[in-house]
Amino acid sequence: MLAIDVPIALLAGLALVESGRNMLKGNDPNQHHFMRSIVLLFAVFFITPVPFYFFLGWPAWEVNFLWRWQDNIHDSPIKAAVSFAIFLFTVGPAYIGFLVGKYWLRKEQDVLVKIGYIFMAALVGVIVYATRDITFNIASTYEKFQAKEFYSFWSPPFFTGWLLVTIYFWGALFICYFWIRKKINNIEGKCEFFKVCAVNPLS
Amino acid sequence: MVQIDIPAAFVVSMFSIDLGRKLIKREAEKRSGAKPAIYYRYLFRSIFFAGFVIAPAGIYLLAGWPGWEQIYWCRRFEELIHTGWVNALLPAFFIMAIVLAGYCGHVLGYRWLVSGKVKYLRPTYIVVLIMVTIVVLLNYPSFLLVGTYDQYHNLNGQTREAMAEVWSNPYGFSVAWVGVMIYFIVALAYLVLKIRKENQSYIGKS
Repeated sequence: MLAIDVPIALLAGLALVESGRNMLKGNDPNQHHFMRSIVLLFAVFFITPVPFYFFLGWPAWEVNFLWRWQDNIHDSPIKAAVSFAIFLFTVGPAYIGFLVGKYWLRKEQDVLVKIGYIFMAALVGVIVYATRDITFNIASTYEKFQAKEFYSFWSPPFFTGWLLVTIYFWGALFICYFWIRKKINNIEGKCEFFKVCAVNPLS
Repeated sequence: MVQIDIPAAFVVSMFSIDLGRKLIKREAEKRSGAKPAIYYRYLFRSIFFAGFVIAPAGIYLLAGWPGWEQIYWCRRFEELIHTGWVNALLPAFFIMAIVLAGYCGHVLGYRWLVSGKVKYLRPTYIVVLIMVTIVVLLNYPSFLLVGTYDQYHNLNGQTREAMAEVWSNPYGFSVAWVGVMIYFIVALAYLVLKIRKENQSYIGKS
């Protein structure tokens, strides 16, 4: 749902910053460019496809049953242009999350990054709870939702697809987080090794 | 078109590496083994171009005119709304394929450049462009007609005669297509100028 896509994208940006904090706190431009590229790659490869899956498959649900225009976007240059907006709503917040998180790290306010993504996770929970009537009732169009012709969130094929893309996104975030951490540990391990060698070249 | 957009991301990434080859090579030689900052700078550009220029343009046409966007190869693209979880995955796969193609173009281009196989770079993206052109031309006249899969293939009581020609602006298609092309050309021109400027300042310094 669009209402939670923005906080989730922000959360992802902040979580990736947290995983790469040692790189972003240092002054090596390589590591900064690396993190920037990873966040962008993650956003367009793992975040953006998810809203498009829902927007083109279950458009009324994706826009929280707020409007009826999305029920038929074929053959309309104006309506189809919302595709551009979805890119901005997903990649934009993820990148803003990265920039804000990086700023906090550089100001030695690491705790704000953690608070930031925990707050975003809590916000997602609040939004889902507050909009539970529209989140857990699926209708094909705005009219059908108004007429209460809906079915449960938990019924297939909707739930099957939701489960699939949810595992895809959160799984990717989890793997990416630990992959960056591992990469940092490897770099730091090498640095430690070279420090020891410099002190005792025979070691 | 799906058949153009995915290879286009690959070609643009390789083309960027080709344009900036002098500068990339010099930076790579400075940091033998490890990837230099310029690797990630070009990666960022390639992914940005694929994700913010090619993918939105493609998905825009796919959302509005799904039949034309994949030159009537598959009906599933026209049946996305409430038809199960498989069809709805197609736009997601489309975006992922564009980004992946951009990434592969960058990685392969960079690898060839720094490992002395630069001679493969230009022929590769030129061959890809030629192959894409052949694939599209082989599907004549699909790219000149706007309508549905059934109309193009004369199925379910529908006929190709009912389809409109692209230059008659059916359902606002031509306006949308021109808008997308302007967006793509301006973005590509900006990318080329930026890389050239960077290269020139490097040549000036050296």
